[in-house]
Amino acid sequence: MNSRLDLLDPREVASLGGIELVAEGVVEGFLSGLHRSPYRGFSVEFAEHRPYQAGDELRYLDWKVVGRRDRLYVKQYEEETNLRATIVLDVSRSMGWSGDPERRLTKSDYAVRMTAALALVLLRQRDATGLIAFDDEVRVMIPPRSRSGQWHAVVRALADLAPGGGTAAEHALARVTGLLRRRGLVVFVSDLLVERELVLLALRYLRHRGHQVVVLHLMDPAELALDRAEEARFVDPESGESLVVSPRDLGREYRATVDRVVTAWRRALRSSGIAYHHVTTETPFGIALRHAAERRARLG
Amino acid sequence: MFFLQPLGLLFLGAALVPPLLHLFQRRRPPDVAFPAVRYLRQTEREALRTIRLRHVLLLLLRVAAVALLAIAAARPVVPRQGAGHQPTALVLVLDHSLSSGAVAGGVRAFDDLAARARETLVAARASDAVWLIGADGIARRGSREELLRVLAAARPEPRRLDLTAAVATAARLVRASGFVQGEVHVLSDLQRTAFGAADSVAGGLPLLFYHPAADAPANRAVVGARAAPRTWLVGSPGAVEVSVGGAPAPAGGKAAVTVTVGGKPGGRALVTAGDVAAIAATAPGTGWIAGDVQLEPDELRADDRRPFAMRVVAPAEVRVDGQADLGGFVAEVLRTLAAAGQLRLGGPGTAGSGVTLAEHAVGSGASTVVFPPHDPVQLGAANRSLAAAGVPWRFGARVEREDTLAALPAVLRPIAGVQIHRRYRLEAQPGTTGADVLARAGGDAWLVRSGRVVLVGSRFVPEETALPLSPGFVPFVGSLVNLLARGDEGIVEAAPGESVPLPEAVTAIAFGAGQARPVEGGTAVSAPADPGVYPLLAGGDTVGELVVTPDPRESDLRRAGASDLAALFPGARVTVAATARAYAAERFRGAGRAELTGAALLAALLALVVEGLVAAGGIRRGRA
Repeated sequence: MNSRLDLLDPREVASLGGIELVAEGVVEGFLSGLHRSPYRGFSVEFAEHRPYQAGDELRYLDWKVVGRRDRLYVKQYEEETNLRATIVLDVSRSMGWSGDPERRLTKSDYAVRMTAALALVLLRQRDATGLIAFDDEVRVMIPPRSRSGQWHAVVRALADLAPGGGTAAEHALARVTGLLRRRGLVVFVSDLLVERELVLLALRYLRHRGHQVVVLHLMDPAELALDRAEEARFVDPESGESLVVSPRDLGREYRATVDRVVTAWRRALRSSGIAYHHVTTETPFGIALRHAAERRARLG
Repeated sequence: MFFLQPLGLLFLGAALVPPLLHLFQRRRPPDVAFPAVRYLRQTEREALRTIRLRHVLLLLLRVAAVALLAIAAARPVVPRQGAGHQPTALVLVLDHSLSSGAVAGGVRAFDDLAARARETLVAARASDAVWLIGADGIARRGSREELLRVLAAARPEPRRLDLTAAVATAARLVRASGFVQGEVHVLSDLQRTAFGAADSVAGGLPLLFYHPAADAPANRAVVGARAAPRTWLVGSPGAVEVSVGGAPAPAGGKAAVTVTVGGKPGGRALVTAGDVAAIAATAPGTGWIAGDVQLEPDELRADDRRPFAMRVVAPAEVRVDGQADLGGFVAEVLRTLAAAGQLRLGGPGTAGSGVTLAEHAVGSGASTVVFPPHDPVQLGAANRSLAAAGVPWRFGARVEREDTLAALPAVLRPIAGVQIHRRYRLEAQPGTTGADVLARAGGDAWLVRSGRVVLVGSRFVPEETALPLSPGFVPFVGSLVNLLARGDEGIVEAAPGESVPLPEAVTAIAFGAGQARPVEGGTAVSAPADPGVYPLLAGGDTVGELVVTPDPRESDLRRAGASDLAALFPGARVTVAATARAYAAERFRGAGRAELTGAALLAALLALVVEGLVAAGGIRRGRA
């Protein structure tokens, strides 16, 4: 694939093939971008020099070489890994919704493809990578491993998933704490339509145990702002709860509420040392991957 | 505050539409899947009070917008204190004609109109030029005080005012005044019948019409009363033809009408509008006698009574011209009538004062019944005698055809349908009128009268007509010699104030109680203003009666509408006011008042704009 699939519209990328093919294409693009902007390996041992490219950080310039050869070179490092990473994926019924199915993936479809790509990135770094998928119970649990075939196991599990029932993230996160004995990376992918305090407590507990935790808060753009004008009965597909609302009356207030919710999540998580990223189903996979892999770079 | 178009306030009912729609047009909205319902609920919980407030505000704004539009349609006006007006040429037409005496809603129309005229005169300033045109149609210019005195003396008059002519006069006065500002006010009950044909003379001028607010009352009137015939034979019964009219028609049934002849009650009848009743009566005594017809009183009294006059005569002295051969039937019937005291048979010396039956005209001023000559050879001589006597009728071609008598006045009805076998066509000469023809046969004149000369188309013999053999022959000959041959000259009818030509012999008009107004016979004089019967005098003798009766058009009280007025005065700026305040608001180009229609429209527009902003949340964005 010649184009950078990681930066294209997720809906178009998803239409190119199955989860496996799409994830590989996205990762290829993502990693080629890393070569231009060396993200990977700067925290480990020096490997070689390479010519400076636009976008490279100046702090990696080797000034001795510059002085000797009057040309710009940056230092590149070999990375060593023994990281255990677990992707915790929300597959509750609310994740199976799209505000515009013709133009956007459901949150679940987006999350599955992004998870597959993330797993591939991690496994290529020889990180032990596992998967936990949950709705109101744990639906899939693949322990973190770095052996060959692990990614295909993850992909198969993801392909078999379908949006389930309610959401009980706190139970799934409790299971994660049992699985991750060594400190590692936990990537939590969810629309966060959950019991907020319970989930916060579980995530803080993981952080307290020394894990790096990344939360990807996934939303459909239609959840950010009410995009219809007429009055309607809005029904939660997960709980069945409904409410009659005229978007004309509440549109602006609703946007403010969502902003407050996002801000509250961000503040609460970051104050506990947990990375938080707000992602929509229109966000290119590469950007979401960059968010998810950000904490990986901090782990030695 | 008051309203120039109060009917516009009916639209205020439309202000109920927004709340009714709000209450009754709620429908079940469609279901939409939406996972983030918890955010919606949180939003609603936090913004509930704001949303309710906005809904109430929207409802109030919509109601206010509709109400303001309704108020604007009603054209609200508020008085403005201390405002004056530019010098104005003002012509005030006060219609105090007969119909202004009608009472509607407990108020006499005249009193209402006079009060408005008084207000306008008081509001006039010394710099204005003011004319007052009354029911006589004469424009009077004067100071405010002078015109107020004229107004104080005004009263409903039994005459008719032609409002089209009055407006035309007023328009000419305004144009000739040299004032920049000019107005014509017409204070009237605005009867449709008071207007003539459309006239553009007031084009461009403001024409302000005021009429009483109450609807025109129902009215029933005596619009015609006359003795039939006008000359009665003493002691013989006669009839008075009464025409009943007036409008709008009363809802009730018939009304009683009473005839009084010479001060004595005559017959009665029950009539309704549109009826023509012949009411029997007997004349007391002989000579010129006045009578009247009275209806039950209604809201307009002045047209419930109508005078009439008649002449009661003694049996005529009749002679047959010696050269005439009228046949045996005529001679026999004359003898029969004489025996019954219905006439007197006279000798050769009665030609000047009696009635002569002849085959030619016997002289100017003599009462003559002229029959066709028994010898056709004499026809030319007969026509020459008619010409010499000034009679504009001639015997024409002989017609031998079966015809029947038709188109007869009441007194000749007994001979209606009688067969005519042979006749001479009576041919009119220049100067004749249709009123001369008393009976027709086959469409041609058969019996005509010109002054005191009566022409008959056939001799009264069985070879020429079946009349001698008919039962109506005897009374017909009696009427012919006693009534028809004597004519009904001397009774002159006129409307109050109307110019009327008088007979030659008249020297004065008597007004009762020994008062008389000298006049010149043969000239036109102005009829008295009050209805009644006025004797026409020639020296000490009464030679006729002047019967002054109201114009029947005054009895039709139906009102002209604004569209009618606009069509009657094309190009004029016609305004119609039905209340004192509306009239005052339009007076002197609306000086002293302010119309709030524009402000109401602006407020409605503002309410709609604010409503749109609130509905779209624009105000909040503005604050944010």
